[in-house]
Amino acid sequence: MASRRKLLLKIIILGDSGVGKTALMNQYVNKKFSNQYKATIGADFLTKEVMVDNRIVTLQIWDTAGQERFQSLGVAFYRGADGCILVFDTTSMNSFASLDAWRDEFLIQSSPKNTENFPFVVLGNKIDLENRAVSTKRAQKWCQTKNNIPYFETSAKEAVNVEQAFETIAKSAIALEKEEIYNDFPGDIILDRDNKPNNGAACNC
Amino acid sequence: MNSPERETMQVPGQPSVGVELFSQNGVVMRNQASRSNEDVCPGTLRIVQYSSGKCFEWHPAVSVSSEEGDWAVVSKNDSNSDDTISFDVTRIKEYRVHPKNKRKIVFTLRDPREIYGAVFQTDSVDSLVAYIRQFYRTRRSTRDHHTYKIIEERTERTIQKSFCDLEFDFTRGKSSNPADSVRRLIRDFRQKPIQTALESAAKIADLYRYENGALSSETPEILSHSEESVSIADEYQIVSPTIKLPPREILSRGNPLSYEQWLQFHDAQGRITNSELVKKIIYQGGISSKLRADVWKYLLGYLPWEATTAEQIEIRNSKEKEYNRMKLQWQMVTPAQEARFSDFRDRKSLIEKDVNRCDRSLDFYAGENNSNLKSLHNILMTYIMYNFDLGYVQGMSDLLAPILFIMNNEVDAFWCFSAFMDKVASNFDVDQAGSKRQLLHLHELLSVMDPKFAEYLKNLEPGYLFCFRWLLVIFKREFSYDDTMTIWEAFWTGIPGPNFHLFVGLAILDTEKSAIMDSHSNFAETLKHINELAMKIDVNSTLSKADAIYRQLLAAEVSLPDPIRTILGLEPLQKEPNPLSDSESDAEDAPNSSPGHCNNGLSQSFNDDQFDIDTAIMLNYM
Ligand SMILES: Nc1nc2c(ncn2[C@@H]2O[C@H](COP(=O)(O)OP(=O)(O)OP(=O)(O)O)[C@@H](O)[C@H]2O)c(=O)[nH]1
Ligand SMILES: [Mg+2]
Repeated sequence: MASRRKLLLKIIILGDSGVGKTALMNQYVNKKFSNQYKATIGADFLTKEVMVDNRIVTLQIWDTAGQERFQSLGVAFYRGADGCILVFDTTSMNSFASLDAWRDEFLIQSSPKNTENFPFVVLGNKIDLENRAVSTKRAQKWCQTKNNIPYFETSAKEAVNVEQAFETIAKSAIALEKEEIYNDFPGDIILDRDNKPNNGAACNC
Repeated sequence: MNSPERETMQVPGQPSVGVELFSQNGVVMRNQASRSNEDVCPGTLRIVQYSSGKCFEWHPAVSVSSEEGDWAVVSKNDSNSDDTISFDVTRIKEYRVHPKNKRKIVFTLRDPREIYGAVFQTDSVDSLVAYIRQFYRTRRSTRDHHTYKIIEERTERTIQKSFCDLEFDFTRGKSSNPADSVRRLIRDFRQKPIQTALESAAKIADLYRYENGALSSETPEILSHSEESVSIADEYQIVSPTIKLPPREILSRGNPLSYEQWLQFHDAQGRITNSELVKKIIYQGGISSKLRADVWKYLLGYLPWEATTAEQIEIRNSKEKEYNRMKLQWQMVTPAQEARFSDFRDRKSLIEKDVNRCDRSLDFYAGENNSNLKSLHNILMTYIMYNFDLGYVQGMSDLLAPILFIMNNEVDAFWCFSAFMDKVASNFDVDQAGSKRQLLHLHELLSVMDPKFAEYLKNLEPGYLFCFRWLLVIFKREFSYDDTMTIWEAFWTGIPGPNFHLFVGLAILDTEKSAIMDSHSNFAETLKHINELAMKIDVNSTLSKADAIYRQLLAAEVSLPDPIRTILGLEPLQKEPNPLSDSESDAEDAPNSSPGHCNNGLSQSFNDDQFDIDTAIMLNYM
């Protein structure tokens, strides 16, 4: 029974222009890599049905433009995200340094219920290239300081770790979704307003 | 999708059968007060009208088979499934929209053992809340701003509510002082009598219609019948009821400007004799491809129409010198300089990334070490020296690539590109104000052409963003090279006015209207649909339609409000400044009390082209 139930999860991929967001999404969904992707303008998404924990989950994966200039548009797509994939290019220190800004901006704009537990994964992409600029250790360390975000080193070109990374974000997004449905609301509302004392400092504004 | 009262079906004489008033798929719902460990799953939330009253019903999506064929007519006694949730609206004590996540809502019933939480997976709960507020008087809880108590069903008595009460939306929840509302109303009557009267009359009519219990089958506009302020569509919009457009007259496209014609337009010294006629031919039929390199230079203003052959050579020489000088500037930057010049480095690296990804499937740009890629790179690098304030923004390579393809020469391509950039530079503003304004203009135009569709698209959060790519690169990503060029040429002629590209967008939207509206597409589905049109749109019929719509609006010129006239390139009708300045009303009231004497019943959002972009409803999330 349970396996027939569907769930839609919105996953958003963020990172500087050129880190490989579009390539990763296409590798995961279409199992293809092409040298002919164009820079993303606006936004697009692909969907993929996956089985996670014995249930069918539809992942709606959103890919937006990475250039800073377009960020004010990108944020429109953050709303309602269930998970966020942060991508940097292992051959570009700048793209790694931007992760903080991407994460912060995402949390501010999407204002998820639970900032602490919000599902993220970090991908260090293009590990097939020689000229590596960001060490594994350094990336791992950053992830640890951000509440232990899972970290994967990927290659969209050679399909390394891509599947695993998306699976991980799907799993943690589901876990959170479940938790929210059970825990979110009762905490927000006061069962019987008229009888409960209002905790001292009542504010009737 | 949200569609209040879709397919309403009345089955008389059957007490157990109800009429669906509201339906939303992809809703997860459960009773919070009695937690079980069962899996949560999405289903459909409905409001159903029974003879005994309105009822909330939620069914999980998996039990579809048992409902097949009768989704609009729901049997009340059919609540056999344990998963089903059902309660009378009268049993709701209050509801609360999650302050940070507008996809979540909680209903607390009078029985404290029933607290139903619902999560809308794709949409916000706004449409549901708007629906509730249409039919029930609600009051915001004094203890929690996000909680609303259900007071009573709206009845005939509501019509007898005072004058002040009808004016609530002028106060927009900002001021609770009825005297203020009245004052504002009177001022509005003075300023824009017809619009104000229409609004008030429409409100009364709407109340009357609702209170009579006659559930009209046409979708009611979302009203703001309430005392409280909520961030959902609080604006009362009367959408252009009085603008009547003449029938649309579609003309077939002409032939492209031919070599013979072009020759005939040259005089003995090489001047172009009748540039207006040339433009007209181009607007109607484009330019035959082998002439493009020549004609574009005039069309873009790189060469003046009236320049003789000798003058052209002179201009060309001096432009070449200028280009090479600017090119040298960035080529001379030493590695040591570059290391200390992060702006330059960032721009250079962006350009490199984009050049690598620019139309590589086209032979002209294919393969490694392609010299045309080098030229693309050089032109874009030179452009940042030419226009340092703007710098390089993604999308520019898309505008340049077809031009370089035609010119096949760095100098000419550079100057034609920079002339094109001059026309569309605002698309690349740092704050995206230009793009936002264009999206708003698209909405305003559509509101005149097809108010229902405009309203539909506006309500898709976050609005018209799915048209962003169209406008940023003037349809370059949606059409083949050849078709893109035909659109650009028409746009460059400036016929029939300055914003022809917006009409190309309107034409495509018009063609896709039923695909979007009939399937009740939400924002994501609409965006997908629009994105997938790429390379499938017929350029000629689209241009013909765009032209026809433009002429349709021009023919209705006198009844158009000034902001629309401005978009069309017409002089505004009213120029005298408004006696009541904005200082009298605070920022939030501005759209309502804004100046223009809008005597055609158009919505207030048209009143002022100096709109505050970020308060424009559909752009809330940009
Ligand atoms: N070698 C290698 N190249 C990659 C990999 N992933 C992407 N690329 C290349 O990097 C470039 C940029 O990739 P995109 O996927 O377009 O980058 P993006 O993050 O979507 O960029 P924007 O759309 O501009 O935000 C393309 O030329 C890709 O071919 C990878 O794993 N290895
Ligand atoms: Mg991309």
